[in-house]
Amino acid sequence: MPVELPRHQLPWPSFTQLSTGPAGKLVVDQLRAGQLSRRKLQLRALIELIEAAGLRAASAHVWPILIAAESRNSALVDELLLHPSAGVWLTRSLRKLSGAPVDSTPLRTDLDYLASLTGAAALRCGIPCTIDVPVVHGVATLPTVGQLRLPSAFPAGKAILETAPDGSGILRALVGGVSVEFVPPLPSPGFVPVNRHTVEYRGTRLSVEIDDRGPYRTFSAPVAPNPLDQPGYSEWTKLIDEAWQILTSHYPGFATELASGMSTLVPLETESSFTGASSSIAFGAIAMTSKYSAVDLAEALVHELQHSKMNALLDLVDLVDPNFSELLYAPWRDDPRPASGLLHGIFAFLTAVEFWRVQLGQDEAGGRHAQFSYAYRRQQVRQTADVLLASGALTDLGRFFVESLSARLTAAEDADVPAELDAAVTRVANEQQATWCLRHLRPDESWVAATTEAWLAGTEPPRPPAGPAEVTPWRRSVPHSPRMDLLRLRYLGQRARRRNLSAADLAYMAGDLTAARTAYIATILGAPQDDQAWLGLGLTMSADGQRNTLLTAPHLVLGVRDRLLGREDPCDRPVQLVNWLTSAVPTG
Amino acid sequence: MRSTDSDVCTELLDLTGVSLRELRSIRTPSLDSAIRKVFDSSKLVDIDEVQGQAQIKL
Repeated sequence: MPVELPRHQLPWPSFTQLSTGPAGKLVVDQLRAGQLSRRKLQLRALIELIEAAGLRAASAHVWPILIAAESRNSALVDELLLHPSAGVWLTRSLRKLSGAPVDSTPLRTDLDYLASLTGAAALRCGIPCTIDVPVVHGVATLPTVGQLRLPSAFPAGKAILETAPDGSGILRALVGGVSVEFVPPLPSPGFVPVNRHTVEYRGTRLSVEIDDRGPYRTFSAPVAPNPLDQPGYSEWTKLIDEAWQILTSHYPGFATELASGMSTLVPLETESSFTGASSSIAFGAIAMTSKYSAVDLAEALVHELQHSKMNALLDLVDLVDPNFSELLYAPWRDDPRPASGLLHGIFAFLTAVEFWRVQLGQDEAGGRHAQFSYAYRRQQVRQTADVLLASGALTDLGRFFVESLSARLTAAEDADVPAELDAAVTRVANEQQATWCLRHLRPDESWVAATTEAWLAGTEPPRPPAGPAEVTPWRRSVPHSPRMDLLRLRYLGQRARRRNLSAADLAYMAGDLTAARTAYIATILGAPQDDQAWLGLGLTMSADGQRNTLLTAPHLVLGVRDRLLGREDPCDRPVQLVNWLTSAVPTG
Repeated sequence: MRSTDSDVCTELLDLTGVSLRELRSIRTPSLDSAIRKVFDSSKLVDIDEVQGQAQIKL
């Protein structure tokens, strides 16, 4: 054993490959190696904490079995340690042992997952053993093997797993004498093997676990199995197959990195708040709702894998200065984000620009969808890359990386789309940013007070303080506007109906900006505290291309408005107020 | 610009070649430091934080 352990070395060509395009198998393997080291480090930390805490963890008796399994087949044990569920389990356990709040799941439930992993290793390596394994939500889970359900009424606790050299097993209840015999991967009463779907096209093979049962599949507290029914499963595999044909035919680079890096697909409920998700603690896992089409699925898979790659890269190198703590605007999220969040988004949505650029004009029906998605994402990525590069948040390595991404975007952002689509993208982008500013930026109170006095006195407005405004997340509750989503859905070719649209919003959606502006003013005169009406007014005032303070700094305008209302002023000249402020507040 | 044969140095200890048997007993200054770091980061990591694309809800 060396006196000192080496550190991971990431070859420079591998690092640059990550920023200049899809990653090849070698680079994905290098990222995965880093994840394996991280998991082992977490495992060692967990062992020390358990021993230091004097916990007689039930999993202690399984350690020799896991070591024996590794002696027989180290690659297989590595595979288990790299399973997305192992990352969630390790992180949750460490966090719980550190005393940080997690959730109400008992610590023992999390710690005992080591027995689940060991049971899977013993079965797959043919090591005979008898161990206690946890039963959670009525089932015992053996990652990469399957799930067992005893004919028993106890939803949680433990059961005894016996494994045989031939890879078969028996799960016995602690009481009652019931048991389940099974021979993986064959399904049998009480045993469901993992769903693994494999598809090969143009010589590139994708093999993924479709995880609809694993307790840690949603990257959080253990959840109950939610198995797809047969039609649902068939629909997923059909879409995956079609998406794989698209990827291997038109995006061979992305197909290669997905084949190397994606290990698990987690179907999400349609009502989920996310259409697609990944986690820094579950490399290779992608969770998503069902998609409208194979094209959408293909794009979403590529997108989510970028997050896994970025998470793994950030475990190796610092691209963002750890001392940079400002929160910034990311146009794909409602909440203020750390610089690393912007980096993630640029990295992931850049692939969307590249993806939709290829899709432009692929077919008539999807053309408009592709055009809007392309124009929308390129505008977002360009804006955010510029913000991040100017933020001072990046290390030297990070600056090199983002400049490389920016150059890659330059090569992808030059395709033409119809002017009306670009205009729609600008309208959505303007409203998104204005809404974000209103929700999260705190105006300087002394400036607001002085400006209010100047308005009432009929004098020139003072200039606001230099520098960025203070970010105070969710300082103002601004209701979600239907305008942006309806615009997006219209251009994405999806049907949408919305009840309770105001006359002003209807006119705005119809493109009658004069009528919309009149209606928003009428709304403000009747209810000057209506934030959405003010934002709508700002949108209609920018129709001729003139930017105004209501869009670029709505927190300042409405800060003054609030103070005027507090002074019993009716605030009944909204257009004049906005124009007056625009003369003093930079709108660039 | 770096030469193409250089490496980007990382802070992450390479444990890929360390067996589980060794993992339990191995002790080096850098490992102790790395364990403290991973423990501290586990306190800070938001385990509910996911990267994802939000659903459009009407």
